[in-house]
Amino acid sequence: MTATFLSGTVIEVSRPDTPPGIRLAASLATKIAADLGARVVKIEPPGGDPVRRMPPLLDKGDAGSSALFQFLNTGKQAIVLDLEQSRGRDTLASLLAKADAVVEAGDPTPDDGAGGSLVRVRLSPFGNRPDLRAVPVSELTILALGGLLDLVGDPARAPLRLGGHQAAYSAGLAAYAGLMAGLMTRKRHGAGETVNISLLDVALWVNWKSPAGALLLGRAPTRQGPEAEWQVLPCSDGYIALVYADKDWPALCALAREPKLAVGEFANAAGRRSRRQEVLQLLAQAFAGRARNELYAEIKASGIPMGPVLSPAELLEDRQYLARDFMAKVSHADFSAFSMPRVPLRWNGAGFQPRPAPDLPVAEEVIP
Amino acid sequence: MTSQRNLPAAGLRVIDLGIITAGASTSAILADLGADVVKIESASYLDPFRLWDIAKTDGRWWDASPLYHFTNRNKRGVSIDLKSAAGRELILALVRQADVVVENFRRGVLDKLGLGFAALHAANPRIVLASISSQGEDGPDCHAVSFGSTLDATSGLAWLSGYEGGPPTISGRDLNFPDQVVSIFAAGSILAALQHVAESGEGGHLDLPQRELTSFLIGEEVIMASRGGAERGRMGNKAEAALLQDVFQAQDGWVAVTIASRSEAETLIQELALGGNGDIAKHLSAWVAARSKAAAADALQRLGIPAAPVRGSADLGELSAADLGWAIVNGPDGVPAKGFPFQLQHAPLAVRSRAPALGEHTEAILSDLLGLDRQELDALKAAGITRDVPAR
Repeated sequence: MTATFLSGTVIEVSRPDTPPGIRLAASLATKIAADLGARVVKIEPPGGDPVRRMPPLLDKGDAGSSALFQFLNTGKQAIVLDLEQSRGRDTLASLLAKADAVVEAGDPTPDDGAGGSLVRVRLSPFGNRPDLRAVPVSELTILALGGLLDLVGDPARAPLRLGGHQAAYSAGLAAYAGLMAGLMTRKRHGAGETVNISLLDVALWVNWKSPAGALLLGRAPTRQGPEAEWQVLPCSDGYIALVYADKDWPALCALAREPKLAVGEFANAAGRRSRRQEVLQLLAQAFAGRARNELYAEIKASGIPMGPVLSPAELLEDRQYLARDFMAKVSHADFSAFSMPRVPLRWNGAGFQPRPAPDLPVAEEVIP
Repeated sequence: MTSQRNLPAAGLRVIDLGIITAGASTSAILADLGADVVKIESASYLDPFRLWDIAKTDGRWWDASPLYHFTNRNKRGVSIDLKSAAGRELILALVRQADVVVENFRRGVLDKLGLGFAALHAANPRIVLASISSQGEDGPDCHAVSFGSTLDATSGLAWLSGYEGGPPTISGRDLNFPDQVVSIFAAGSILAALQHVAESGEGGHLDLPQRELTSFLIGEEVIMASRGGAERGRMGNKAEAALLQDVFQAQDGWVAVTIASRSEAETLIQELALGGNGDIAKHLSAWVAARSKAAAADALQRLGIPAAPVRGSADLGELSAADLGWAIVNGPDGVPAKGFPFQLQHAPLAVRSRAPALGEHTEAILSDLLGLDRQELDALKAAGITRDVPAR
């Protein structure tokens, strides 16, 4: 495994009233930097980052055993500072003076304009939208305003979010990229930069095909549920995702072993569109009695872009992930060992091993 | 422009073999950051995005696709036939003057073209080859192909997405979530690699599998699964950390609401005069149903509750430029284009030029960068190497 890829020191700091989604985004960005080799110092308030207590919990009886925290804080060093006190603020200032970058979770405050060489990465809910400044926010409301909720689920039912923390994590990836951009400015041009990330802008950016469709093509995509061409269909031991392009149709007919699909109206895309429910029904019947692995073997041989629906537990046994050693074992002193995905990047074939997240320091500490 | 000089990647050059979203959007972010991104296509191999939403009957139909334009702004474009020996030599000559190559072909295609990492590294030992793939460079399933929604399924994300008690759910054709996020991660990782190369002096191969990225984005669920115990299923719009979270139907649409704690719920019950006992979700649902989505969201926000109307894509199309922020911006021609996943304060990112027509910069780049003269340019054209009119 590559020991270091990135160098430099990054400080992670949040404001006490920062909503969880913004915290998760900031922590994901610095986690990636830490796993890649940067020194990351996480400033926690007295009592610790509230994410330490956020579900899911590793041990039901232990309120401080957040799996979320363990995932998002690998490789970091933690110190507790009370930023309400001048001593805490002074310590932060001296840390920043020696750091390359700071990632700040919270509402943007005016840049101090010092024009120094520090890279500042600032995460906010709404970015440069003064009218939304005081609006309370959650990841779900970001998905609503970004148009992402409207795209997923069944039109006859409520709009549906994607699982996990996708609003926060996509912003976390943007903060990671922004951090790398800022560090590049610092290294190549000898100057600092302030990088602004907002959860709403990232959601809109991720959802770009919707505004592009509405603005340029006069169409407004929305969730299609059971009417969608791409579906999740049941098979004998789970589900398989029906995903294909028109050119894949002959191979899909062969996979389904259903001659009716290859002839008449079903043989062309327009015909299939007009009789979509029949098409889906025939495909569902064709897959219902077959196992995912058997289908997937044929799918891979014929080059159809389909795949099985896998649970998180199944990912740990997945042959591709095992061959690439993608899941890393992490041994934490306080918990029995667990596995987590590595940063999904290899450099010349080598991946990166996450180091356990830090315990909460017992008292306010000053880094030597 | 002075700000242009301060863009992070100014002075760097990217050879862009990226197509559709995952690859082309990665190099678009590098272009936004100031890199000279040279998009390589040919008359016999167009970015498939050029074929979306067009009628092949129009004149220059291959330059008409709105989604191609939306994604490929800020780049320059050349037409070089990669399958010809002369074309391959031209690419290698460009790679000698570049810092990064971005590609998201099927695994094996680049090697077959004689442009695999070994060939690129031989041409330029400092080159970073960024390979964005479905499942990575090696392993038994590295040749499996996918669209974004396939990866929703194989990454575990679809397993976690869906109505309570219902089937797994993919993000679907209009979103293809994994394709979008990978381009942000890949661009960031290319910038990280460039810093590594600046220090070590050695280039390298960046292996960026989209499926792994999507599984990475459910990391906490993988941790939970690795500890055994009961399988954690789909929870609709609920969040474990919130007392109540759901999307409620209003008179004219839907409202997303997150109630973090019991004390917030008490505030609601009191201020909105909801029924005090029983199921708060039921009472809130009735309260929202009697109002417009804007009025309901507004009233809840005033009480400090995160709430928002659900916007559809038609709503997004009606947003002002200010409301679209830096996510969607206008190009120099006034036409909306993809904006930026982040914004820089001191060197603001902008769409400086529209997407290139096929081969628009072929002659400029081959003469400026490779020193080809008129005669050589004409010979390449005559041989069909730089042809820029595709067969219908």
